[in-house]
Amino acid sequence: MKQPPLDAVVRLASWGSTLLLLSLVATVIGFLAFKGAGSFSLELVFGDTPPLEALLLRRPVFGGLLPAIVGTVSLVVLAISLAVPLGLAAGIYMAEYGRGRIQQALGLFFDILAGVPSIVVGLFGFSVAVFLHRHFGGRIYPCLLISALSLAFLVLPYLIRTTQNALEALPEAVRLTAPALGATRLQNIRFVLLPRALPGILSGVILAIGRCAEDTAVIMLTGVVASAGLPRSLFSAYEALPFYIYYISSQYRDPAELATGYAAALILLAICAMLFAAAALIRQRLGARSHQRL
Amino acid sequence: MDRAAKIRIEHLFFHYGRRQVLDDVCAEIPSNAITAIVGPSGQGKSTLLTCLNRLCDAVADARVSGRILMRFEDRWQDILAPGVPLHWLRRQVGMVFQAPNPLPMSIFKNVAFALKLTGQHRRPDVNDRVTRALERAFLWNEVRDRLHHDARTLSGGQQQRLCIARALILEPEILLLDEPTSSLDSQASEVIESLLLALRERCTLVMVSHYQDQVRRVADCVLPLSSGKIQLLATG
Repeated sequence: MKQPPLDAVVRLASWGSTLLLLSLVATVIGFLAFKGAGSFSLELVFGDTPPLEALLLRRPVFGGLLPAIVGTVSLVVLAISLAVPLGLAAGIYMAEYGRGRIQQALGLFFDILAGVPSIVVGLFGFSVAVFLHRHFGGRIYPCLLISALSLAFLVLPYLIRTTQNALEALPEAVRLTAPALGATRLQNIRFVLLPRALPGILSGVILAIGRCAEDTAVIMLTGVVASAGLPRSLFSAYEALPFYIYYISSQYRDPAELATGYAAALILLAICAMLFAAAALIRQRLGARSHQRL
Repeated sequence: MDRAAKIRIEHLFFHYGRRQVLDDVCAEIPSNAITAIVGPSGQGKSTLLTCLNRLCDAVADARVSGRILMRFEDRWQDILAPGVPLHWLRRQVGMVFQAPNPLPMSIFKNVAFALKLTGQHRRPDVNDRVTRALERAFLWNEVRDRLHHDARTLSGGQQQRLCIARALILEPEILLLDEPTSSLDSQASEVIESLLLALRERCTLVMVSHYQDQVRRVADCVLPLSSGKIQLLATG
């Protein structure tokens, strides 16, 4: 049967857009690989320090990317573990408990929060750091914890909205199954609604991970520095890959140094991929568990 | 058969926002019988059914007034009265939906789910009661060897009987069924119909049905609902 012309056009356009996006992604990654692959070496990560000694924390790494890698991973893990419980709870409130005007007002508020530019969130974090510095005897400086808190604040609206949408998208039949069997509201949320909404919620978490890993504006103002070694505590300055990339691309002395920036970008992409894979794995595990254990 | 009344609906009004769905419904539903609520689509049949376990409370903008009296242990109780614990009510009044809605877990866990909600975890008891519920729902012989398979692998008719078993495990005195066979083929419907006839001994069944033949075959009593009113009281 012949397809109506409009169908063919829509089909062609969808295919074309998908191909365009795919080729763009391939171009970006290919470009990074082409520029950065040459400078990949153990030395790039560990500098002059022998890798084993560096990994066992026996000797500090100078001139390598290890501190920035560790800094980025700890920043993301910290920010996500601060943001997820809060975002989940607020999302559950919005979907299951909030009603009427209050819910609408909060929704508007979260949307505005999602639209706040990250540099503003960074400035806010910076002001908090200054405030704490003044009131706690000058012992608190911009640091890992303040960066993580600011990033958590940045991604919170995404987490809230995706949790809310995932819960609200559940069909009425699913929603009424447990109450019809005498479940309380909390039991319904815990045993039926949350497990069913988990894939949606996890995609929100994955988005948030990406946002935390790539953001430069917030951390620039709240604690990242060009050279700090491995982060020593929550209250110390730290290095991070996005900042390293920004720093190298704006201040490189020779093409070889610029190439390390490309290599750092590749490493950042790889870290994101690993964090996404971890989130996907958790999604799979939790899905399997809710299926078996209930 | 004991035909004493189990449920008495008195001057029941139901509004959904500004729309009136039920208009002064009065009816008596006999115990240990199958009562069919029949009538054209969109006349409030399902709404009337969800009033009986107050699942209608979950609907935003819903307003109910009137009385629904139910006889539990020879005492009449108005289930619309404030302060009636909903989870208690819904354990006495089970419900089966139009489309089978097994939870994404094993057959065993689906049936045991209601026990989990009431905090009963003792394994031998749970096993016993799951077996009994599946037997009462005519499903035991078909699933005894694969209790720990995903419930969604069952056929539509089996899933619906699983949902009936899940509703029966708490031994409700009243079972509500919202067009329980409308998504099934005629063979699967027949099994469900004979199951309903068997359940009547220990349960009061109230079902919404679109099928005249089905009503004629299984219903002891018919409540014709049209424009939110009961048209006449006929007993079969």
